[in-house]
Amino acid sequence: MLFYVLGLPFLFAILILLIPESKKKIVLPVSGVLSTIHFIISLSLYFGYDLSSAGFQFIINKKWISPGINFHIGADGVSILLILLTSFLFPLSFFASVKSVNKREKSFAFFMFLLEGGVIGVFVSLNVLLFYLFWEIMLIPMYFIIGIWGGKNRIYASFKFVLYTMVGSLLMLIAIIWYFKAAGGTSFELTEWLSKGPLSYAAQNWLFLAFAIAFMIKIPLFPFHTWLPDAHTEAPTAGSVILAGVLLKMGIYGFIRFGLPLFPDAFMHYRYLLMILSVIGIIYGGLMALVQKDIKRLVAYSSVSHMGIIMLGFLALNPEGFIGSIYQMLNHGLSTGALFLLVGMVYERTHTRQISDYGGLAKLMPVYAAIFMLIMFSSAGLPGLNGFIGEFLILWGTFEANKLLAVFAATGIIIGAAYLLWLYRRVFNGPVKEGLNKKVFDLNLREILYMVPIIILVIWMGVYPSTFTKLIKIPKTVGKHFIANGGFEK
Amino acid sequence: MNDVYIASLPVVLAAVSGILILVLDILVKKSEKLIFTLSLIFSLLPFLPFLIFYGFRSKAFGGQLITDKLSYTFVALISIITFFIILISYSYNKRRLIKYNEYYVLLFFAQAGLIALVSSYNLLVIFIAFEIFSFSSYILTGIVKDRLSSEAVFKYLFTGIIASSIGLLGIALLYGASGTLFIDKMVKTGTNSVVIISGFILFLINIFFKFSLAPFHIWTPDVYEGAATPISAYFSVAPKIAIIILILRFISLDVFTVFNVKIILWLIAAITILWGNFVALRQKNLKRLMAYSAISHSGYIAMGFLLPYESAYKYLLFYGISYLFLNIIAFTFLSYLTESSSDDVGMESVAGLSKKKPFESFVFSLALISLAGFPPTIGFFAKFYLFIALIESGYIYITLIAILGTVVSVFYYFRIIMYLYFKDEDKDFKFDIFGKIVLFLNMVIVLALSFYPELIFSFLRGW
Repeated sequence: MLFYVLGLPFLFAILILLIPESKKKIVLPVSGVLSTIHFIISLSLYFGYDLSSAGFQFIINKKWISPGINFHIGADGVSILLILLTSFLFPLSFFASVKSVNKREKSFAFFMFLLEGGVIGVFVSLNVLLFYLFWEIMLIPMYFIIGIWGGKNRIYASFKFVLYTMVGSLLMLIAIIWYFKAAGGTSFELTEWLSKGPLSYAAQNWLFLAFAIAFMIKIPLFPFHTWLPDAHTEAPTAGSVILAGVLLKMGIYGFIRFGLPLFPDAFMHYRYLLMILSVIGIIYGGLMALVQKDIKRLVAYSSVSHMGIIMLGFLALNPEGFIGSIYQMLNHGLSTGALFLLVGMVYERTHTRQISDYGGLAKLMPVYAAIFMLIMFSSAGLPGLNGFIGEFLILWGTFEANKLLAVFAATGIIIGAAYLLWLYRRVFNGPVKEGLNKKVFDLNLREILYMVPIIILVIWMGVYPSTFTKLIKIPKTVGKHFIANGGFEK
Repeated sequence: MNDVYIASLPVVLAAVSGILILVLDILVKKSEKLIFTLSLIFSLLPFLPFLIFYGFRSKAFGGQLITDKLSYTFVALISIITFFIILISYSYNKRRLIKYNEYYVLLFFAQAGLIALVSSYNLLVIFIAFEIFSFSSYILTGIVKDRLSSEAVFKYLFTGIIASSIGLLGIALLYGASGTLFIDKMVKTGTNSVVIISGFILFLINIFFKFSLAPFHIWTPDVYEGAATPISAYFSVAPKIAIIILILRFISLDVFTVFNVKIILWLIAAITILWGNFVALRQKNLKRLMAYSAISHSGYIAMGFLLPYESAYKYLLFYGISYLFLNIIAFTFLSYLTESSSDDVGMESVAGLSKKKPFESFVFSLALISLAGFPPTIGFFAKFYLFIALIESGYIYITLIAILGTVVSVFYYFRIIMYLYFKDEDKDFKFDIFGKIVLFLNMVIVLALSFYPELIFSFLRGW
């Protein structure tokens, strides 16, 4: 089953190219339908996953290339949730792009499917080099998506994105080759590396840093975050949704799957530093979001802040923090993705993203305002909606690990509420800005339809989280490093 | 007795093809199409000895000409290269009004020289083979009659002759100190005097020059820019593969360790990688840019000269073969950008080309992405294997330098893609059927190799 979930996007990418140029109007709706089918197929992972065992399931292991690069894939609960998030966001992005992408639709769909395949590949690879391959595969489609369909500064943003990520991943490649040599020089299999036990502390130290920089750039953790506001702001709506929704999660996934299990001692050594960086990211991202003049840039900085929260939850190294962190990844994917979709909707109408160009939008677009408010509250963590569960669990976990940092993190979350509410007040309330009423009309059926699934999920995840949390089994490789009392000197 | 025929067959095939075409050119009038077709067929002829005699060792002329796995591998590769070059030459020559059928003749003579180069341990044969190739290539560089080309051929000729004389001096010193011209015997005598080492270094300088390793690479950009684009393509792959094989012969004798020159190789590789990549950043002309890209790839390959034979054999040839197809794609694309009046292909000339030429732009971008070493393309696996082998042999720092070079190379390769795809202009160019065939075949090969890199290893095992 997993093979089809991974392979279908690549197949679709080729199928899309077969649509003749004369029928290019149907490309994006067709892609939307295809990726919806893909989402339904990937649901079978959710239902097919055997909850009684925590390990990897749906395993496929085939020899591919010597030395020891096998096509070894499998999924556990964490991977399945992230795959579902991915395959859920792609159809929405396609439907959201029907109007806004109006050049080279075929290439757009081609790159989007390539991206989807690459991202899913990252979440299912059990061979370290296979993981690296997928990690890099998704870079190129994203480069094109930002560069061809992006905004004014797209060329700068796409270059910055590629270079940052490339530097990180080449460091990771060297570390992978080094580890390969240290582990006997026969195999890139993760299980085999783990069974040999961790390396000496000195080796771990350097290798972990190389891995960690790659992951930190991707998350992005302060101070490696500077590519993100540019990339997010310049990317087309679909690109921003996918970038915020799933691409950022790959960094934290990398820490969970590789960073901690392979380098436990180095991880413990740098854990406190990483926690502090996360907290700085939370507060810094929030403060930066407060002063942004561009709505998309504001949402981008809010992402920096939220990713810090998620990372902090994982770094707490206890069950509450871990579950909260995974759950918050889903929440962030949904609510930030939805915010980008919403920003995209008004941008299509007004072609401006400056907050100062808006005002009184609630009178002109009541449905839009209502949906925006709901998503905003979900992002700010209002109880009853999804964001609350994740943030609560993370703060609980952090509090057990380190009280001081938990206090700072909670402050950051308050800033989150502040910039969102202030944004809402400036854009939706007050007198209607001049000239706005000529351009703006309320949401049409297509736009409402692709927001509905998000709204349902946002409420569902807030009210009945165990539908999803039951899948979050703590992997053994992570669980054995959990610390009961926080691990810091009091 | 039979050995003589078998061993000399590849060289003779190439030389006779050249002579036949030369004669035909004199006898038949208006023979362009005929000669083009015949050259295509002749270019594939050397593939036959590869298919029949692979894995068969033979000696001729007292061991001055030998054939073994290495030389047959090269014979197969050079016939592929010549085939593609001739395919793209036809329409290019029409466009640039190159009416000399000697063009094809010289390609075959160059080919004969290169085949002789990889089939000997005798330094004098190696030298003569180099000269056969070089003289053909001097004329080929100058076959376009314009200012750039004339400038290129003069620079190439003068520097080339100096390099050759230095190499010859090296051979003389080696012969004087060891009493033999055969490098394998020279190694066995075990003499390790200053004269031998300096002689060997002088001999290597000639090779470095031909391989365009820094600081002996200065001619490369000018020649690549001035020569006809298919010829630049030929220069960027054929002599490189030949020299890789020649060096593999040296490595199999452990020459570099015996003569203590590994540190020089290390330094030269490092300088070349950095120089090639950083200078490429500033290039506006695409042919010059590809020249610097070729220089930096020479640097990556030169790192592989440090490896022990087993891994060098596998991974250097892997790198060479993958680089061959990628470079042919890139230069084929560039050769079609050329118009009759000028050969100036600036970055601007491809701006927005992807709208009108989606297939060609896709293949070109694939080649560039692959040259930059992005997974999961063949260029990634080439670098990956090389890095693994280097780290296993303990060469960490040069690997890190290569990584730095790779990061830098992303800048300029992706800038071309940026011009192709992200610019709003609507440029268009004519791609005829030959160009499309070359691009398509190479694309299929590159994609196949990207997903089954082991195909190359099975090719090296003789299928």
